[in-house]
Amino acid sequence: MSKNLPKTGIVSWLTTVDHKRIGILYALGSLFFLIVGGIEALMMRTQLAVPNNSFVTGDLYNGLVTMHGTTMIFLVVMPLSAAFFNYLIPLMIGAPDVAFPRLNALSFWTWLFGALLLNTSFLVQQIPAVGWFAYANLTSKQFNPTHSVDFWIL
Amino acid sequence: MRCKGMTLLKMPLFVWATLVTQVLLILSLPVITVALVMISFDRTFGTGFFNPGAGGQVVMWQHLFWIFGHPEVYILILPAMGIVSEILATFAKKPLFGYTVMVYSSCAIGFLGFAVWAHHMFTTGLGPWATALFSAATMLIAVPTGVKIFNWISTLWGGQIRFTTASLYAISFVAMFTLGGLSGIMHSSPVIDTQHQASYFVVAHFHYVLYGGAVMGLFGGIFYWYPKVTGRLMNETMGKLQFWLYMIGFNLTFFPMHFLGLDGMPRRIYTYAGDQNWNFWNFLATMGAYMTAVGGALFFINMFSSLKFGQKASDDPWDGRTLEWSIPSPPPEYNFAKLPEVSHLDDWWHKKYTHDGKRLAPPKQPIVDLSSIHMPNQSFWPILLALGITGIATGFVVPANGVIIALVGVAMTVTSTYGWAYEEP
Amino acid sequence: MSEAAHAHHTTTGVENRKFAMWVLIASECFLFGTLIANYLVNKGRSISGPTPQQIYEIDITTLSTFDLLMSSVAMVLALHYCKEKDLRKFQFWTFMVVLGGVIFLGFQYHEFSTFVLKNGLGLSTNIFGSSFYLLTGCHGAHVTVGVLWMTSILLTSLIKGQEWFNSEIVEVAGLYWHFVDVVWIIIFTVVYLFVYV
Repeated sequence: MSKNLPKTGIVSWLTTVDHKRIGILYALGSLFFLIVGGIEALMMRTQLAVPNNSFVTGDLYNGLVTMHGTTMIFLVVMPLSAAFFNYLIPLMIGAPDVAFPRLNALSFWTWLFGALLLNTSFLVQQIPAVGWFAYANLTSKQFNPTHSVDFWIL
Repeated sequence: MRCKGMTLLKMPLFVWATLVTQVLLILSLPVITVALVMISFDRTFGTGFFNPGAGGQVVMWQHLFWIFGHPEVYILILPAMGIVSEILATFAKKPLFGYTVMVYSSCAIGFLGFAVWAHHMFTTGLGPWATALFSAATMLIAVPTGVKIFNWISTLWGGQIRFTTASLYAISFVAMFTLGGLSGIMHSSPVIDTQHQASYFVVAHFHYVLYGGAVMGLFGGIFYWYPKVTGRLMNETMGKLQFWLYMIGFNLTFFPMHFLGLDGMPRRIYTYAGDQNWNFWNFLATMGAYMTAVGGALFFINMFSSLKFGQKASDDPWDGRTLEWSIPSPPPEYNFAKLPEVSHLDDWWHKKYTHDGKRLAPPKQPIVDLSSIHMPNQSFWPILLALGITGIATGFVVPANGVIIALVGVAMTVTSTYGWAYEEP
Repeated sequence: MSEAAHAHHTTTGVENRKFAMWVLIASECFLFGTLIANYLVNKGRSISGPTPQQIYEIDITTLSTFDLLMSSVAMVLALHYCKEKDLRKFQFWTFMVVLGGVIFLGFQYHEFSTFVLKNGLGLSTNIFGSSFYLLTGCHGAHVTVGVLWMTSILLTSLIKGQEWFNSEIVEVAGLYWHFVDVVWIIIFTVVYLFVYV
């Protein structure tokens, strides 16, 4: 079935197993969340600029703290690192691709959907407000498959 | 899948950093998975793992979280360390100083990273022995980190340094990470840590490590490898402007936080009274944050405009040292028309220069019949499987009809797994 | 095909998929390690009964442990005949592996239902129960995955017959199966036998 998929256009990016393309997807995804996390940070700093400010409420501020931490760590720095791993490792060790190209693709998509799921909490007004080390929706589902990111090292 | 001659100690340092990162990921993620499953059970099914009323312990969550959380910190910083090592060596035109020691110190950091988790928990009352041990382990982990910093400085020492945006970022990484590391060693003393716990001093510390460290390193990496990925160079003027906005803005934001922390300002508060002498530093920090934001906006403008208007890049624009610079930019789908053979660390450099630094004739791209190269087929199973897993997860959070969504997710997951398994790769 | 030939050569001396399985097993060690540690911490902290001493049926659990061990033996034989290219015997022993797994799951179902119905130990009754179900339930889920995997191998082999002798896949599946088995031996010792110490 998959033999005749197009080599260019949107479908080719959705079905790609090329480590370079997956690296680029990771980079774009994480840079998008960099903007999200950055806006969260700016909102917090604006609130703190002067004493007794009322730019955001206490609850929203708690949510911002949590989401800023989670976003920056799991949705920006880790996947941006993953972008570099994906793009560069095969090039640096002289290999045509990673050991498990399809697993690599699965990793990216699971990460992206998990990240989007986490951020839908903003839309439904139930922002997790417990610090980055506490409970952030179903992060477990986000993580579990991300293991697979790692198998390509060979 | 390493090519011929690429023995472990000839791999670029970035590859080593990645390897250690992956080991940390593989071993630390299951712990957080269990912890997250436990807390989901507590919330969904009424179990009492973290509920003292049912015999559980709140501190258990802290232990489980930090057993994952501390390796996670190294997961974040090690890739940036690897990137910086590559950039510094290239732009100093010298091999990385103490390569073998760098490899071993990466491994040491990875190993010790599992033995320091409780230094986040000195104030929870672990008892004197545990506190002393974790304190010592934390001081110990400063040693390989310090080794790395000295090696980076020695790499730059006496080199012909070219100040491009990428190398500026890499150099600032070393400086900022050292500052963050120093305040980190302060925290390894439980006495000081108890004073600083949950104050803005800690916020300053980890932003110096993660922002001044990891993010600066990653930005350096973007500027360094952008021409390889896109075939065009990023605008250097804009890049340098962004760098200085970042550098000054970042220090304006986070350096005052040291003072605020020592002055007793707690973290995670959303407002404060005006008579505590915190006003000036807080205002300064906010201005710094805006400056950084301008820098960030500039970066995105630069990134997208360079895609179209950037100067065309050669295959090897920085006179690089590692294999990725030996192939066209952007690389073809199959990467290497002919898999390379390697005989040195920094092999590409040795193909370009003799031992006393004379330039050799540039090696030619090999000519190969491209139709003979077999690459893996594209596949839509990965994205479907990912959708299925997300469906299951959504089922847990959505209040109404959650079961149905989860069941659809399960069906998709199972179908895609079988589709995957029986597909020709 | 030169590239494809290269793709199969690896530098660790281990086939890629097998290496991936070892990596997964390393990861799973930490997973079960955490679960077992959690159980040991929590088993004595329950506020109310039932306690482990009151409910474990050691004779039945011994039987199910024996059953799982025998399925591991069947796995070894299945792999052996797969390498020998003896189709009938390979299919028979693969079937025995599946059967062993299913019987084990049956035992577990019996155990869980007795605990819940007769002893009144639900998932959230006390913290011993929660930790116990989390640990053994997680192991049971792993056995289920193993059973599904071996069933797929059996079906593929029945459909494709002689031309399908993929000993690499069988070997990787075998690694997984043995690992799950070893985990059970640890659970059996730590969870069921330590009650008597």
